[in-house]
Amino acid sequence: MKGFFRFIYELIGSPQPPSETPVYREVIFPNVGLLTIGLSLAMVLIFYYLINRAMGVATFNKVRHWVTFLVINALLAFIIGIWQANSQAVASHSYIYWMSTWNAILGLFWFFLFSVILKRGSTNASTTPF
Amino acid sequence: MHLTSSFRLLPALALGLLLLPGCYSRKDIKEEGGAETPTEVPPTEAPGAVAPKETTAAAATPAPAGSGPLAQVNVFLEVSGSMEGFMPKTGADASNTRFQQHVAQFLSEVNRSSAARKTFLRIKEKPYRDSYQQLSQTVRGGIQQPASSTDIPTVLDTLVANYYAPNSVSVLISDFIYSPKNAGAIPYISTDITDALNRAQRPDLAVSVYGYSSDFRGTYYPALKTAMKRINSCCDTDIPYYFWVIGPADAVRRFDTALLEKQPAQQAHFGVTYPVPTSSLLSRFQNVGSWYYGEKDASKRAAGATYHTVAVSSVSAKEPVEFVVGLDLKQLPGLFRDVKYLKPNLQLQAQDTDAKIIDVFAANDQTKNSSGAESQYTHFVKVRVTKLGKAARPLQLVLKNQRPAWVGQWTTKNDSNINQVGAKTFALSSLLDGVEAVTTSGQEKAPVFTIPLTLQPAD
Amino acid sequence: MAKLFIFGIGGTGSRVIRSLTMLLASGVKLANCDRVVPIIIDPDAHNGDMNRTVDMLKSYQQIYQRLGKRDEGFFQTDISTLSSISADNNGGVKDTFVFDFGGINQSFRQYLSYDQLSVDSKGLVELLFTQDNLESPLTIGFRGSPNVGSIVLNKVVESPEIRFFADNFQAGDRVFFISSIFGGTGAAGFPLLLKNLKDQNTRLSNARYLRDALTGAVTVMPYFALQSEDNSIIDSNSFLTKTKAALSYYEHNLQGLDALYYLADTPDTPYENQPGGTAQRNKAHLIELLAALSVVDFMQYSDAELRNGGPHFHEYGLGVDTQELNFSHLPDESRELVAKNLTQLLYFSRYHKQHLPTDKAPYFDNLNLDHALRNEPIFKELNNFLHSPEYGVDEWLKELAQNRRAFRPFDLTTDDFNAMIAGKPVEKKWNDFFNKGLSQNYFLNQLNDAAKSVQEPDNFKKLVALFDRVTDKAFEEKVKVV
Repeated sequence: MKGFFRFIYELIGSPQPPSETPVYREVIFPNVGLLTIGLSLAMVLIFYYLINRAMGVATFNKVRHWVTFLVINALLAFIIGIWQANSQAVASHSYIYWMSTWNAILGLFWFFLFSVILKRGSTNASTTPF
Repeated sequence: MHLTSSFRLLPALALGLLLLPGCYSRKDIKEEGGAETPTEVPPTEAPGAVAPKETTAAAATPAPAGSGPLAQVNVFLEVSGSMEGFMPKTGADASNTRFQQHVAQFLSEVNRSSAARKTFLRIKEKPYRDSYQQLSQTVRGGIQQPASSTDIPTVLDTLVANYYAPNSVSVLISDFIYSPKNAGAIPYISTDITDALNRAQRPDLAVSVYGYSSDFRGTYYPALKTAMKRINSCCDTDIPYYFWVIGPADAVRRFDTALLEKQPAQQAHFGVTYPVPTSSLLSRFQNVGSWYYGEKDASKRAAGATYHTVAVSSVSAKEPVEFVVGLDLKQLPGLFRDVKYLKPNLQLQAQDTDAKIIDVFAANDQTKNSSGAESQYTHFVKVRVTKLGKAARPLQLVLKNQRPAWVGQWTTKNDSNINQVGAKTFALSSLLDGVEAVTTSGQEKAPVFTIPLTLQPAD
Repeated sequence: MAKLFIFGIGGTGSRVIRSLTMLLASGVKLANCDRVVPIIIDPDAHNGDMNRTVDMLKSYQQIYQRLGKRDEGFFQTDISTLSSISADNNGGVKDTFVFDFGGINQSFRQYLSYDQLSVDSKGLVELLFTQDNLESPLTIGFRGSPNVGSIVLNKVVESPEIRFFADNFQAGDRVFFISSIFGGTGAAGFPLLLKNLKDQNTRLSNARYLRDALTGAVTVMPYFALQSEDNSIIDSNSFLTKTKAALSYYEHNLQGLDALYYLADTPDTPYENQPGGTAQRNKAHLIELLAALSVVDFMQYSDAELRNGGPHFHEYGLGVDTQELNFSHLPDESRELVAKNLTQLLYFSRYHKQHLPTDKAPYFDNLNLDHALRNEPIFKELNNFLHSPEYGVDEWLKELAQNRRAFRPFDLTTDDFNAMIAGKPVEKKWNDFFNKGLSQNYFLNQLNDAAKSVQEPDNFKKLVALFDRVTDKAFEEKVKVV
């Protein structure tokens, strides 16, 4: 688990400053990773199963609505990155923003992935985004 | 029917809430790690180093027993004629010597100390039991009936044989002017001392030597009597005197800490063992280059946690790694807290690396007031590395127990013209050689402490 | 299984069959039969009412054939042409809903071979027929002249169509006649046909079955007036006189009829006076809808009920005498029969027109509608059936609403599904934010939902099934009662 998150978050390079490496690897990466996956899953569930199924909203299923959720998801993922890094009181460094940006991109990916997997179960958005 | 649609939200909300706690915290990691508490990396000797000395190991174990007050403190005051100059009879000017002031104060402190039992003894040809008042009076009022010259090996033998007990120390106050019987015996001074101390075969024998000097008004009996047997109305120079604290290593250390640390004095310690001082790598203090704590639980940053593993992610001559080890030397004698002593005697033992100490410095106001971990340490050792081995390698920070320079400076080979020689003692280093031989079983003296570190490439 | 043969005679016959087809399309159930065979008898081959009825029947037929037999829903009843009821057709009968008069493009005088008649016969002819009757071409029908019609239509019995009909008549099949009493073709045709089918000495096959077949008829009495024109052949002022004369004839000469339905209304706005041809295209009228309901009513009686104590005579009374009717003005029985189905059909048609083409939704993709709407003929056929300006559902409802008396169960001007049923808006609870009643969203959501649960590989069948289900649910959930 930690190894997995470490792998995907270190695709953009090692944590900076180096002295914060253990905190990033042991705490921040897993936290941010799980939160982001959870967030993406929640957003997908909200989009596909809450709005487009349970609430019976049938007109909120266009690609642009999906993209709205996708972007919100990315923004939240970015905030999660900043928030988690700050809550662990790591030394401030531009890396925090790089990591958060990367997390936002990962958020896009997770949202997309969950969308593809879960859209079938939706009533009104089972063909969104394609 | 119509109302239900709003309640359909609830399961989704509940799901969202369930997701939230699924994140890691340091607490989680602690539990995950099998409740690992930050443990010191067991002292690993570098393969090249000698096997741990038995004395060190033996002395280290009784440490728990050494809490609480000492069981007994014996204070021995030599009252031979040579000591008369320190304790002259009260003259008309009512002046006294620094020795009198110092020793009287020391006796008082001992008497007030928390030790369970305090005994005060005069040494003539053998120890005579006094009360505190009697002995104090002797110091203040001067020696009434000076004894004949006291033989130091005999005194030491007596002390070690008869007054040595666990959790007890003997303090011998003397000028330690040892007069061999003839000139031919001079080379055997150290052997005599060794034999005397060794007769009782005390495995954890330790000796702390504190050197003082005092004005001296009386007859000085030089050890070397080739030129003259006595120097009357001596001296123009101060004359050294010494407190030797003798006993089991742990007891000696505690007695030192309790009573002698406060006094400015020259120190030398033999066979005294000290607990390994608290130490830690400091990842946020003057660190340079790509390295981080290699401990598995480093991310917890638990309060008071210490770290001893340096994981280096990249290092080269151009981009060296520098890390600082914080040391808390509060428990060590002043000698070992002196940056002047530490600088030459702190050594780094390492393999496959060029790691070396580039600076040793004491805490200053800035570090003390810092919010970082450095505030907890009294001394800092900065190490620079530009290359390292392919796997984890032990790195040891060792403080050598080097005989301090003052011993040599306070030693003379001829004290017959003491006024010209100054405040020196005949064959002092030979005496201490003898002590050292007893407290050091092997070829090398035990280090004051060894802090094991690990230097490893980042995984 | 049992069939129902409907003879729609004259312009009225066509119009009633049109309404009946609408009812069947909306899913009104026709009991005791599984196939309707409409036969339109109108010598006026260019009659506008007839032609659009035929077009609509063809459209219905295609849709039904694609959908197949089902127990409920839109287009559940099979409507067939006469020729299609049996494979044993030697080509004498055309595959059409219209009786083939074989091109009588003569004048009545020529038809009678007046010039070859004896003087006595000529005298008789001149006694019975006016000069106008004799000179008028038969191609546009009998123009309100039953005396002409009765002569011409007598020949129908000997036609291949009627023989084919008789050949394939089976026990249990029923016959229903639709005609107007005051017109030309209908007034003359109905008693003639009835007499010939029930004739003891008929030369038709299956005579016994024909005689025993349960037979019903609806006779529409005057319900409209025509604008008076000085030189017009048809004069609505003679309607009542003709009606009286016909009724007195019916009184004694309708043998073998088990049920007879009378419908009448007081005329209000006069129709434009068009004696026939393509210009005779009258707006759909409530009376025709009620006449179509008489067919439904007739079929609801079991054989035993009809045979016991017949013939049965029926009249119809509205709940309220108003010029603009909605569902609430209909008697309960009629309302229960049509309100739900017509509402469903309206929802279907409106959604199909307004939203379906632009829906970007899972059901749309699931049915591959993007391609189907543009390319598949059957989808175009459905579009025609619903929205054709000639014969579509929308047009039919519009005509009903515009006529006098007006049948306006729906507000056709609104796009709001909630307000479509006149006088019965869908209730929206103020405290339920998510309940928007019948919104596009509602239908879309239900369609998407149904698209997942309905397992039907054929996308056209599935589309109709979805709308069946969704409009049914919309009615049951949101409208409940009208």
